This record gives sequence, C-alpha cells and structure tokens, in this order.
Amino acid sequence: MNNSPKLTTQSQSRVDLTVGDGAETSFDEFFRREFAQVVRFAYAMTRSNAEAQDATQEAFARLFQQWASVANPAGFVRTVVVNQIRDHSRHLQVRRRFLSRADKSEPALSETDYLADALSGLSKQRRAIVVLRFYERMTVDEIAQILNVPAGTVKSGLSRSMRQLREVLK
Amino acid sequence: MSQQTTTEFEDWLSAQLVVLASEADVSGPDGSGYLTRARPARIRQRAVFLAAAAAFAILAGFALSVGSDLDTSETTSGATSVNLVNSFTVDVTGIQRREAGTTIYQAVFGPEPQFDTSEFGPEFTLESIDPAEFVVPTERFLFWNRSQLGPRFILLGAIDGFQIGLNANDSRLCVFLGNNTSVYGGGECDQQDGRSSVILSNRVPSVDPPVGLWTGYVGLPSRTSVVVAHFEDGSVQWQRPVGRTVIFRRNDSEVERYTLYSSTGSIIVP
Repeated sequence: MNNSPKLTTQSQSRVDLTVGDGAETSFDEFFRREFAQVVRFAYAMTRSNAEAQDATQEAFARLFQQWASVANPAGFVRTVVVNQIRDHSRHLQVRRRFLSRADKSEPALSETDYLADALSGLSKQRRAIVVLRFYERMTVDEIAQILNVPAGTVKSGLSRSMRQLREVLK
Repeated sequence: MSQQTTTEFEDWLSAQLVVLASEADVSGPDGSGYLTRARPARIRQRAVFLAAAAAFAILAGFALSVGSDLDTSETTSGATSVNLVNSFTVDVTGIQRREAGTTIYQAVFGPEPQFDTSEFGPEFTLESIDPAEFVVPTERFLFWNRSQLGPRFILLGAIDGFQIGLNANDSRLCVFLGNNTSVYGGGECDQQDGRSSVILSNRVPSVDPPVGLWTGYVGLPSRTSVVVAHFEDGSVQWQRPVGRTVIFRRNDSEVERYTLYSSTGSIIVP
C-alpha cells in the first residue's frame, strides 16, 4: 500500500469522513479504525450479523481494490454497505415473537426490538437515511453524498421516515 | 413515546440506535465472526480431535523435513513435497507458476481408494486444475491474508465455479475459495479453529454464484484415501483428499464427525 491517496478534509461528524487531516493513511489503519463502526452501521440497518458482516466485508474488499482512487473511504464503504443490504422487510419478526412468547417464557420485548421492527418497515433508502442521521450523526449533505441522491430527497425521506416511525412506535 | 417532543423522540431514536448497533458482532476477517463457531458441546471433542491430528502432522512433518531446511524436497513417488508451514507438508506436482513472489503449486490427490465407496453415494469431487488456470485475483488475497500473499499457494481444485486452495504465510495457514471476481478465506487465517478444521461461511448476495456454506478438514494424514463427512441432519458426503484437505458444501447442518479411510478401506484414527 505505497500508493495511499491524498485525502480531503470534510465537515465534522461522528463518522469522520476524512482519513485524518489530510495525512496519508494506509488501508490497514483505516480498516482497523473503521471496520467495527461500519459493521455496527450495517447491523443497525439489518439487525442481522450475517448480513452486516457480509456487506461490510464486501465493502472493505472493494475499497481495498480501489484504495488509490477513493477520496472518501468512509463514505465509500457505507455506500457499498447500503447497496449490498437487501431491500427486504423482516417487519413481522417482532410481531411473531410477540405472539409466540405468550406461551413461552421469553423475555419481554425491549424498546430496541420495537425500533428494529419499525425500521424494517421502512424502505432500504429511508432506513439508511435514519441510521446515517441518528446513529452516524451525519448531515443531510453527507447522507446525500453517500446515497448519491439530492439533498432534498434526503430531507423529504427523513421527514416521512420520522413520521412513520413515530406513528408505528407511539 | 407518544408524548415525546420531536427533539425527545430524536434523542430516544439516537440512543436506541446505539443500543441496537452495539448488538453487532464486530469481529472481522482477523477476528473472526466470519467463521462459524463450533457449538460449545462440541468444542472439547474437537479439541481432542485437533490435538491428535496436530500431533500426527507434527510427526509426519518432522519425518519429511529431517535433514533439510529447504521448503521442497523430492519424494519417492516423483511428486514434490512442499512444507507449507512448520509441520504441514503436502505433495504437489512439478507444475507451478510464479506470481508476485508467490509460487502456485498444484496439489496431488491422496491415495486412490481400492475399496467400494458406493455406500457413501456420489463423491463431492474436486476437479484438478493446473496453476495456469488459476483465475482468482491475487489482490483479493491481500485483503484476507492481511500482510501479503504467502510464498506458497497450493491449488486444491475447482468445484461449483470456485477454485479452492491453501495459502501459507509465516506460520499461518488459510483455506481460500474464490472465482475470478471474489475470494473468501477461513481456517487458521484467524487462528481460532486450529489447522485441522475450517469452516467457510459467507452469503454475500452479490456474489455469483453465491458462496454458500462450506466446511472442510485440513491436515489429514497423508495416507487418507477417503473422508466421509457425517452431518447432523443424517446426510453424508465423501471426498478423496487433495493436498491433505477435503472441503464440502453444507447446508445449515454442521458436520457431526468425519471418518477417515485408507486406500484399503480401513479406518484411520488421526
């Protein structure tokens, strides 16, 4: 990895979309620093360890191949993760669990269970918007960059997603 | 939650997303959640099994490498014996190819069975491939085997559109499975599961054909002619080893046990 790219500085967020103040960073350093966070991001979108791991590993594998030409690796891996995650709904899982626990002594469902269920009722793009905004603490512009959509699409998607989540979770 | 203001709801949402994300298994290819873990009840059984296999491999490796510091040596059968890591030696043919400091060898099959294998059903056969046919992109190995592609790569064969091989780097041995676009690794890459057993588990939806679940046994005794994998669901697969390794496709059912046979059909206890 002798051909590390010059990286640009960007706005501050919980996920630092830069790789460090313009300094050159190796893939290994980036991998060590970001891998767990990207898995968590993917998991928040899917609640599936298998799918989160698969998507994240694929994202880093692609990043590795294109490392020299990627200016924003943190954004790049999240873009790949979102694209890798299947756009399907597991919306009924929590309800099935809820119905089945009446005659089994399963622990009560947590708020996180209900949130995961509500998230799974959103489209993949809207799920990504919510997780990038409220977990990764990204700005609308940063989310738009990752999802490759106009900022207006992110704003309207965020607004509708929040309305839907509040409705489902009330 | 219905009484919350927008700000309170957003704060709650952020907090719950942190809780949700914290459930993730964040072990990676070096970790590795990538490998399916054995069930606790089977760990002790496997440990005993591995210890016995490792002891055999050490003795076999020692016997083959005594008096020589070289990585390769001629064997009486005409094949070349390659020392992959400290105590693991496999026979390869003379065909090889060099690429970016790595020599790619073609592994040879174990002894041909001289007994009736029909009771095990059709063989899950690895097709032998020449190193010239090796298509897996070298750079993809660099990702999985963090430092570099090792100096010796042993091609085991091809099946279901994937090429399968062993790679040794320093004292680490990995099984790789890939095609011309993707590669997946497991085994001692993560130094979790010992050398003698490897489980590849990956279901990346974009890979064509899908990788699926694989399981294998690396470091078989050299005289192993047939390995029968008995799965928990009652199904059975068998294979003639290549490079002292077998690898099987599996469904969600795990391997309950392996039975190793010599060419005459006698059971080998590793």
